[in-house]
Amino acid sequence: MDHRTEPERFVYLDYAATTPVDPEVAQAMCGCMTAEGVWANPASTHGPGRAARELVETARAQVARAVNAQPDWVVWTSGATESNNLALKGFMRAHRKRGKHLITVKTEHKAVLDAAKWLERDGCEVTYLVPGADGRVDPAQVAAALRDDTVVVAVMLVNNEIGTVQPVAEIAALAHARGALVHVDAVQALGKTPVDMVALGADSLAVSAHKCYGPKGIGALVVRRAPGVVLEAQVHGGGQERGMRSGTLPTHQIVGFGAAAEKAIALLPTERARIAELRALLETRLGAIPGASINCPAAHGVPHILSVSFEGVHGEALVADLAELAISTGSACSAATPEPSYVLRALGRDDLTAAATLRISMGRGTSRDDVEFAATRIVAAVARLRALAPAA
Amino acid sequence: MSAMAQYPAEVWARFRSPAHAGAPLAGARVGHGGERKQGGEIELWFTVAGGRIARAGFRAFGCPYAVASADLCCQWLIGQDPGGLLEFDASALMEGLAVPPERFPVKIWLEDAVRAAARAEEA
Amino acid sequence: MAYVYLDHNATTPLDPRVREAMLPFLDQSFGNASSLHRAGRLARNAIDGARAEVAALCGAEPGQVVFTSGGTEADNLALHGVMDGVMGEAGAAPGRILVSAVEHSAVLEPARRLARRGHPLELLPVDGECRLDLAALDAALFAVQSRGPVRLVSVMLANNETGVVQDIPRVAERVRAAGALLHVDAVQATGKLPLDLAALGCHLLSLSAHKMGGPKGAGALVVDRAIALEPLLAGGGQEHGLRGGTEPTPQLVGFGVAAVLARAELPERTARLLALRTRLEAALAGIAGGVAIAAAAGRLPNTVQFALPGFDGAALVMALDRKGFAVATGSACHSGKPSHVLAAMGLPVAVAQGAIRISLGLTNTAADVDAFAAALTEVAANRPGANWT
Repeated sequence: MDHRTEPERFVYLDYAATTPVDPEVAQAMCGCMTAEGVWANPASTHGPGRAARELVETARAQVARAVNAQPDWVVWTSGATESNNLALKGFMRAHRKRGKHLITVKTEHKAVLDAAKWLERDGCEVTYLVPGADGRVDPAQVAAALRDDTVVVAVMLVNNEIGTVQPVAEIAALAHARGALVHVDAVQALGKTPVDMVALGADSLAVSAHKCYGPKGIGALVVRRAPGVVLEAQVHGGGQERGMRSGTLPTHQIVGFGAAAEKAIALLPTERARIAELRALLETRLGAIPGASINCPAAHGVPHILSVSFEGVHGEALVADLAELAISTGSACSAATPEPSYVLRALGRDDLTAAATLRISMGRGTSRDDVEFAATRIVAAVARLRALAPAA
Repeated sequence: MSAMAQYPAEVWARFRSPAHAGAPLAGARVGHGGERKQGGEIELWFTVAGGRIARAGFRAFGCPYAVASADLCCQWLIGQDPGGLLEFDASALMEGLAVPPERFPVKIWLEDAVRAAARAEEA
Repeated sequence: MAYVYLDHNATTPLDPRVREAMLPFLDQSFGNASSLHRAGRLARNAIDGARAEVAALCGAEPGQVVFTSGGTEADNLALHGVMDGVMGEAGAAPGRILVSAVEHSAVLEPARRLARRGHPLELLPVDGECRLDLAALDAALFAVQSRGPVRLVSVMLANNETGVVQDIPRVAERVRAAGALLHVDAVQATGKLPLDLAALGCHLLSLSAHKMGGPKGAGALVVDRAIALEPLLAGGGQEHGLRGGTEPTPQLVGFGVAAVLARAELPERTARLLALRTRLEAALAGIAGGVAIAAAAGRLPNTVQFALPGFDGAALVMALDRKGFAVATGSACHSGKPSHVLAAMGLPVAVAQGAIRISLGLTNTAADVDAFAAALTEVAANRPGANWT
């Protein structure tokens, strides 16, 4: 296999898959990664240990503030997948006596769906709601599905594939009225849209550092401390995090997460406005392509994530022809098996359309120039591939 | 490494600049293989002069392997006797392009298209 | 004198060479390894490299390495992964679990939960030197008629408190003869002892990066793929479906580099640490009333556990901290709680209560050791109640 020249320009538009660590965040982390820095085990009782502990608690407060929670609600985990697993398995196991019913949505992240499947094998009953064509769940659907033995309703705040923002607060109110707990995957939301755990009514909230310019491998499950909000831990051992999650706390990772969360909130208003303009530009140019459909309109989603499907174009060929762009066709985590996106299928798109869908996700490094370039390349690629294909 | 590194060099080059892509010429014999719903479709055509294939072209809806295979096939078809194509086997062609076994359907679509064109009446 | 850190079993500083390897993956090569585009493939390649390096550290195949967020998760995955898979089998009888009495809580706690779910748990005793009682192991393994078959045995390679190293190859022989699986927690041994999966003879091996100059938050469970493991983390399909979640590239790259360095430098590191340990032990022997714990047993080259009966270990740690030395009572995870390890060894309460753990590292010097011994001697001279008659 002989590789030719690299494309002259490579534009990263896959911020929803992951983000680079912000330089200030990296600097804060380095403070825990050198011999002179703070690198001891935060559980140690000696001076170096206590210094590490202090940094951990500072970061805990930063993450808590970012979602309007109390610091002691924050449980450090290894990331979003673990947080979602902990919430679902933890709540369902702890409330066995109350019931075995879980409500979630077909378009949730794989971490939630696979945990739900696992719970089904463990004897639970799961209702998978099907959202409308733009990805939004109608609270009435949740109301209809709620039962007296429903333990948890799990709904993500922002969908990672198409950007839809769910009406979480309304759903939570309905769930609480029936005595059910509410778990919210806010992984894509942090830094893209305001996340107020109290206003949302979430009993637990999953967040992850590497979607908001923090390091990979660290996340949190933020759990409201209230009677009735009981969770069974899933990783046992030394009893760290008040027994909720055992294991040596990785100080450098936690410091990174805290710094990233704080900065994400600070930049939110200006970034959101800036990205909204870029999205409008992109939507105009891509929407003008015949046979192109925007999967979630700007009004119902976050501006950072734009999902567009193209009729009459082969998905793999389209992505191959866009070698200069780092974009996704489906959820990055599901790319181990190349299948049409389950999210798009759940929304009723046929396989061909689902495969010919691009997720363009913008971030801090995205310039107007990048967006114009991407639009030009996409317009050209769609035209070329349509001309290349036999008459439909 | 970019997307081009995922495909063998020749596949990539033919996908990006297929010399034989185009709608059928007037009078060409046209054959089809595959179906969009199956994930790919190849339309292959050629004109005959003096009992031999003079021009060949294709259109394809499919992955880069489908486009590249069809393009290479058209190049190879020039000068062939269409009568010998009724049982056309694309195996050697696939091997030459290093098409991986999972892409087996591409071979079928191409063979079906060529054989159909060979059987077709002159338009 | 600058503060002296002597608690390397709790964690180690990041090796500068490890840090240099990690940094580019934070902000430059930051792609998600599951993404198909260029940025993703760079990450994938780096992780594949790290996997091969960690595999080489313990004589395993890369395909046997399942990356986790650390040693605790690896232990949980081992125990729950094996036993929950068993529960899934239709009509399967609950299997017995044998676990040494001196295991880290990351093994004991999952074992206890499994016991509550119906898998009988038996603790294997150790002698006064923290060595596993092989006769008791045999008795437990082969009491099938009366107690049912054993599914899983877990014995750590090196104990985090005493530093004592178990004869795992012999344990493995017995466990295999009984048709059971052997899990070995090598978290404390990673980078300190030579590791070879085949020589050890175990089926599952837990590793951790941060005890050998690698980053905290990175570990692995090395496991034969033929063993059916029930994953702890569902979703995403990473690690061949055994451990879902975006792979943390910088963390794994760091783990890989730490593994390479440990393997290459093991003989020098061992010699250096052993020399320091010997020096320390000689100095401590001069402290009246002091007790060297597990002195006769084969131990990690860096670990000394020493007791001053009549003193409180936790208070000793604080006193030494004030004097500029970081040590521990036993497990960092359990600061302040009575040690189940020392209790299992049958040590007198006063000894267990007055124990501290000194774990040396590569940045320690002879001067550090001498200064520490002097400080401890001073503290020991002020025995509680010494002035009361």
